Amino acid sequence: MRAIHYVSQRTTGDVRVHVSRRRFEKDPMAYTLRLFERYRLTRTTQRNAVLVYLNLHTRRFAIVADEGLHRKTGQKYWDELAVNLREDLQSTYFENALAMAVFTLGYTLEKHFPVEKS
Amino acid sequence: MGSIYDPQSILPLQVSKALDRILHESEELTRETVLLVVSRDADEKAEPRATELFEAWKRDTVDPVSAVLLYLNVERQEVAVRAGVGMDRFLAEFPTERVTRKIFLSELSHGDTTRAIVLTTLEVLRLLENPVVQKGEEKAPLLEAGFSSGMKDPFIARPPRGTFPVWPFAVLASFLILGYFLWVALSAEAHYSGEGWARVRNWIPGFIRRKSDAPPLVTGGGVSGNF
Repeated sequence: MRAIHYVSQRTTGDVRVHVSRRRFEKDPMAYTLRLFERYRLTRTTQRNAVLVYLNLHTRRFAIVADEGLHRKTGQKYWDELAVNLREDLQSTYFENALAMAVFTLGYTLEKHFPVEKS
Repeated sequence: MGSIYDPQSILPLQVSKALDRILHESEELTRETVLLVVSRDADEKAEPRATELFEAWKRDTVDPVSAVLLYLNVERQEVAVRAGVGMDRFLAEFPTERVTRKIFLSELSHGDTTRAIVLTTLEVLRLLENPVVQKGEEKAPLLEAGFSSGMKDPFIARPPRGTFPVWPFAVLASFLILGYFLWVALSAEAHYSGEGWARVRNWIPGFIRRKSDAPPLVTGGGVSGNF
């Protein structure tokens, strides 16, 4: 929670985390895309929202980023982030793993979409 | 004319005699005459026929003021009651509809005409606060006549045979609803954003939920995995 708040102060991007215990979930990516649209995350001005989804019951996760951010980073970035997140989830509490992923996303967003100081 | 007028011999002789005995005993105790008329004529409407019979009967009755005529048509499944001036109070409060539906029709629907007639007559006597019925003295003559157990308890109205069984579907639907609520309750979700966090309950399934009017995610990136 603190990590998200920290990131939101430093970038125009929107980082969201969704933690679930849904049973019988076949495709976390499809559900994450639905959540992405449900929370209207495609409505950001620069299309730079990210949603990290974690299902504690099925032990699966998904990360979905809007097209503005994806254009700047590329698919390789997301694959690396997924590898890191998986390692963190396996080695520490999921809260810590999510916080680390949020911070990583925050740095990337801050780099490409910093808050303009007026 | 005795206490029972059954020209088509619908009631078995023994039961008819027992019922007649009860009605006579009641008359001796209360001076209230009760005439039971039983018919199987499909063309005979209960109300006009009861009026006609009552008018005819009154001429021969010693005390027409305290007379009650109970007309039962087993073919038309109708009940009619006529009472003398002295029984106005009883007539005004007589629950014809309830007696017809809960006792007469209920018993007839189970195919026991005798039972329907006897129980309806006893119910009328009970409503008249008849001492014979109140003391339970009607049981002995009826039992002797072969009218066996449970004579005061009418059948509980059950749906007629051949109707579609609804209850298995109702039970299934209840389980489905209960299961759905449990599933939603156990599938708690939490959504974290820069403004705070919120617990999410997906009461509305995804396939029913209205699609968001937000622009679609056309070229966004994403990755998924397990841990």
